[in-house]
Amino acid sequence: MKIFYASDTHAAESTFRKFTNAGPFYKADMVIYGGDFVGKAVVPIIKTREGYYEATYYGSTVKIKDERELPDLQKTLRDAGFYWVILSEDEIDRIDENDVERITKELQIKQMEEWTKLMDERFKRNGIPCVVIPGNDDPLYIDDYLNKMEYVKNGDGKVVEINGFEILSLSYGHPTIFKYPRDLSEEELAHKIDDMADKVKNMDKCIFNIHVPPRDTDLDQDTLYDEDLNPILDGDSLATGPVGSTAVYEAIKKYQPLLSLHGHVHPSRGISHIGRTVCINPGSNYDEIQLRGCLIDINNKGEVENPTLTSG
Amino acid sequence: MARGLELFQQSAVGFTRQISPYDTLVYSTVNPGLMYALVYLMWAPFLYPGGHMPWAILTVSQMFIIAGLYWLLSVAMPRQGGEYIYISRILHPALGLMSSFMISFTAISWTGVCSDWALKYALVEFFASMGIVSGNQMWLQWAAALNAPNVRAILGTIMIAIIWMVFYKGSRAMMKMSWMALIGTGIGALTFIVAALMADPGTFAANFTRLSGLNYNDVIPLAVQAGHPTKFLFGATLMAGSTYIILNTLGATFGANLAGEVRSVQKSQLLAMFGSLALLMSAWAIFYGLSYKIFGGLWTNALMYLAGSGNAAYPFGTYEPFATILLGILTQSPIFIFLIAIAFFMATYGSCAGMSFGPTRNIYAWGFDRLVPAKVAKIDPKSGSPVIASTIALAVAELFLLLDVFLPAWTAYIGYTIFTWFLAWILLGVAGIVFPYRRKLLFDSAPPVVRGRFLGLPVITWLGIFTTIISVSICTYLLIPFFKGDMPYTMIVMSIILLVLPLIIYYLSKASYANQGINIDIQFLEIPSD
Repeated sequence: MKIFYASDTHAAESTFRKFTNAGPFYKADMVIYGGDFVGKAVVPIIKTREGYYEATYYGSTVKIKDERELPDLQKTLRDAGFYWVILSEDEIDRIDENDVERITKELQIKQMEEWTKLMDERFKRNGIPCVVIPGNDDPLYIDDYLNKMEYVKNGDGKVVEINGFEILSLSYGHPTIFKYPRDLSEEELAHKIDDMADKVKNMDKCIFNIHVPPRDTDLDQDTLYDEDLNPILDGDSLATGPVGSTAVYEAIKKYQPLLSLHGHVHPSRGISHIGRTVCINPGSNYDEIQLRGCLIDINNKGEVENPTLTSG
Repeated sequence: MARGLELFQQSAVGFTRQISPYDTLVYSTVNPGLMYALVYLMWAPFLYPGGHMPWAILTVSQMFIIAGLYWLLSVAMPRQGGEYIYISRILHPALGLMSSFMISFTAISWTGVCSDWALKYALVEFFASMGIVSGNQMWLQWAAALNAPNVRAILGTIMIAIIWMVFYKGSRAMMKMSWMALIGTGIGALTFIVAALMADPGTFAANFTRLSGLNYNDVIPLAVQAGHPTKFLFGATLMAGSTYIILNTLGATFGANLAGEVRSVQKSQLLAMFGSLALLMSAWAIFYGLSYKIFGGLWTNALMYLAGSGNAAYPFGTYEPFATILLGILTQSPIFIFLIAIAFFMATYGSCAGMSFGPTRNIYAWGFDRLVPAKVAKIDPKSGSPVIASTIALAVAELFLLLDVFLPAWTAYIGYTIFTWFLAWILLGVAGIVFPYRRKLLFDSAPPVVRGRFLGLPVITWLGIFTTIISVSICTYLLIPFFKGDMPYTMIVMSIILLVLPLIIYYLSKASYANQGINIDIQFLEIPSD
């Protein structure tokens, strides 16, 4: 049994499309996605009064005089995980918080409609079962689109059985400095995991698919930020530290599933052990059109064998 | 900025700000260590006779190009940092490992070699300088005792063991070492300036004649007689600067890893990186300018030439003409000798630790990617540090310490380090050249600053071309003293070992994992998006 796992594509178009092709590419028997579909920002492409287009992203401003070059810019933005919207100078001057919220939501929904359709089509065509969940970045309204899929399963909050394995999935996370839509207290998170774990018949064949990683492991080390979201420096390098969840750590320690898959902390790519459980966070480089993932073999004895981190 | 744009930026979830330009500036400036200027002032004029050291500082401008290439690559591939990832992804994993191995083990070897420098130039030369200035034989006997290979080997080993403990404790302890280096550098620069203001060249000439037994005015004629040119030469200046001065500015590229963080393409970050090069040039201008002013420009070069060539007229025997001796002769003050010695020790020992700290993370990453045995990536549960990677790094540093002590020809003038480093940067240059074509998708999705063009070619390709040319030139400059016989053959042998060894490791690892049914290359294969 070969499982491919990836997460955190964050609206990056080509990276996500790679995910939908990863199953047959790696000859996997099952594919699991660990959350975070939506992007982090909308980049307005402003049509100026002089007739050219202007977009500011990554701190630089791009000017386009020829309208025929617009599709290239739009593709670049999509591949980097940005949504884009064309607005006139008058429109951008008049815009308020509600407009920004509405535009962001519309763009997220439009992409989720396209992506869920694509996932369903490709996984069905290849006959590879796939379980996905949203992540703590993802607003609750995208769940409707995930639930509409016929072949690919939205496993969030459930225990789904595939090929004899029970997959316990959870999109919610612990409190973070970024205040994501699905942040819960550690107690609430522990409660949710306990409720689902009660439904698992055999932990020896159970796979945890929980978006946030266990705390204080190799899987949750990230740059630390102050309250203004500025990175903290530690001497001549960036200060790093654990940013994972204690509830998730305690749950893995208590239930000892066969495998525990996580995302959320993009730089903390790694494989770790909590007791007998193999825990994996493949990390994410979504904005570099690179799908980071993990290939996991489960042998005939039901043991995890040779987990391999991939960068496709 | 239009209010609407601000609103869109505020609504961005989970986006972070950038590192301050000031922090990037400090980070880039302190690596690898400013005080090595005093060592290279002895070596470069011997290996490149006629090189004008203050003017040679201008050759650092070449580093602006290489730093620019690092910066653009780090912006295109943020959060990863380092030539290992750039070259692995653009060219081939084996070449990525090769370049990273060459640079990492070059840096690790400095930990060993420079531990010996801290002993030779701070401790031994302190006692030798005291003996020369005071005429008291007891100081010279102490210098000779401490200069004994066995003593240096034992003391150096203790120093490396302490560094291992610092690594085990983690980055906070490492930060203290960096501060020690920075404070040492400050003391050294200040001591140099005060000494220069206190005495004049005439005093130095008179003191030198009296204390060394060699007439100050005979130094240049003797050197000329031995083959030293009678004036400064442009070619020698270019080569001296491109090798030994540039060597000390390599840290300017380290800041790229901070500048690339979260792809904050801020012009101020770029300015901080280039500002560090400007600061380095200024600091070296103080050391070299003042040395030439106090001791005499051509005279300084002539003395170094006599020392380097082992000329019988050189008056200080086995002791190299280090700053402690020259400033001691100038000031005749034990305080100045002590201050220069302690400053050099602090700066050197602090940077010894720093030079291996980064590479331990690289070794850890290779283990992770199975390019070396996976055990190397093991993290100590108590300290959270990659303890096996640290132990490997410092075991290699110990080997280089012992080479420097017992077989100094193998580490002579650390020529192999410059040669190996720039061989690796040839690969980096090639990666820069082909990046827009071999990784078109990644290039096209990179931030606008990466995709800039000049004369029809991507700027990053131009930077790659110039990085390749500069790196090839510098390797060629090193071959000149090698073919003259001033640089031993070991420079080439050591560089070849560091070049070939990673390829052997890569293919052995690949074969070993293949036997277990694992194809390590699968982790680097590109998945089609459509």
